[in-house]
Amino acid sequence: MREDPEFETFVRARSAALLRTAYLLTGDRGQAEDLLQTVLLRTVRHWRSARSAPEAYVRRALVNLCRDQWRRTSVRPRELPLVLPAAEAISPVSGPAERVGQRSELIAALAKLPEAQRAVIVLRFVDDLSVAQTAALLGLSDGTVKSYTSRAIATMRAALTDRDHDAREAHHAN
Amino acid sequence: MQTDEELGRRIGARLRAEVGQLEAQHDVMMAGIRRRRRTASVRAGLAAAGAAAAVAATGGAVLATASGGVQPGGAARPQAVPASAARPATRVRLDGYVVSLPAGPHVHKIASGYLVQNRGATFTIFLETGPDIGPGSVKARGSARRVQAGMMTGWWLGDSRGGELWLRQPGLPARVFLVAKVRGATQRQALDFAATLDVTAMPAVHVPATGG
Repeated sequence: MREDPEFETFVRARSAALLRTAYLLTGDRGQAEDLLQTVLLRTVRHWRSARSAPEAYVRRALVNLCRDQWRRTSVRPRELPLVLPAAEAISPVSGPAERVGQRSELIAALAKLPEAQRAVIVLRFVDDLSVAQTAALLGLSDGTVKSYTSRAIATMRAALTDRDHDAREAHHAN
Repeated sequence: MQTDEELGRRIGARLRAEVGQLEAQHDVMMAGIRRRRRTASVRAGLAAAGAAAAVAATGGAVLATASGGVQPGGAARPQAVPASAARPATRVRLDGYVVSLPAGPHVHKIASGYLVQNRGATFTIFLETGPDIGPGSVKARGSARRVQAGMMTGWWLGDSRGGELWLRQPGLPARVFLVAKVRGATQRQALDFAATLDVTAMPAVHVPATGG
């Protein structure tokens, strides 16, 4: 069961960027990896139709699958985070992969946005899609994308301002 | 005051920078894709073989394992398999390991595996531990994640994507059993499934399984 070498080249070249998108959509590295792998699996199965524009195909599948998951999890009981006694809490992390797991305030603010707004922000400003491309991918009108963008930016503006303020304080303290 | 567009670009740039170090492990990703394609192929073969009839006769579901057994092929349409929930659950203690991990904040992978199953069978893999393993000592990469002090963690290998079980146990040796709670499959099938698990605890002393 050999993959098309072209597919493998595509995965090698683009999986980091796609994983980033998946991570920002889901807010969880493990989930992002699972999601991307599932999408790539679908892509390789339909490689003949996907090969002309694989990235667009994968991104659309990624967003669709993510929305399916959001829909499913919204009706399922939520997993509660473990509350660990201090002595048994997971120790501070050190590696780059672990550091990514520690969300910055900005990523946390993104994660708090409603799913549709989060998807708009990620596609528009992280993946650099136009309003029209984002609207087409999400099945929304251009106006709705603009409105979601505006609301999401307003929410995130506060997080960004706080972060800048903290950074300035730290700079002055040094 | 920046416009939404300007601020959006700034946010995008920062998000990109902050997750820039997120590296996709291409080889792992490709290996996972190949494995899942193989799994899907076996599963499709099971369905096509019309295994459901045999399953209904034995009262259990057929499990494809590393040791093989049911080959892909045939063209019969799968028949309905009775819902697994209707059947009693069987607990099978699969294997025991005494795991003694070094002190410190390390996290050790002790088992990984994936499940190829036909419709109708539900396997739940638990890590049964002694009281010396408390909350926070077990991390699971799979589905359910819940740890109760000194009891067990539910690690559900409910699909073919695979899962991993990690243990953080500073200092103390701990006895660890993998326990399969099986619905809709026989003990034999559960034990076959156990053979597909890759128990990677190091160092670990094998303890013979003590029965269901």
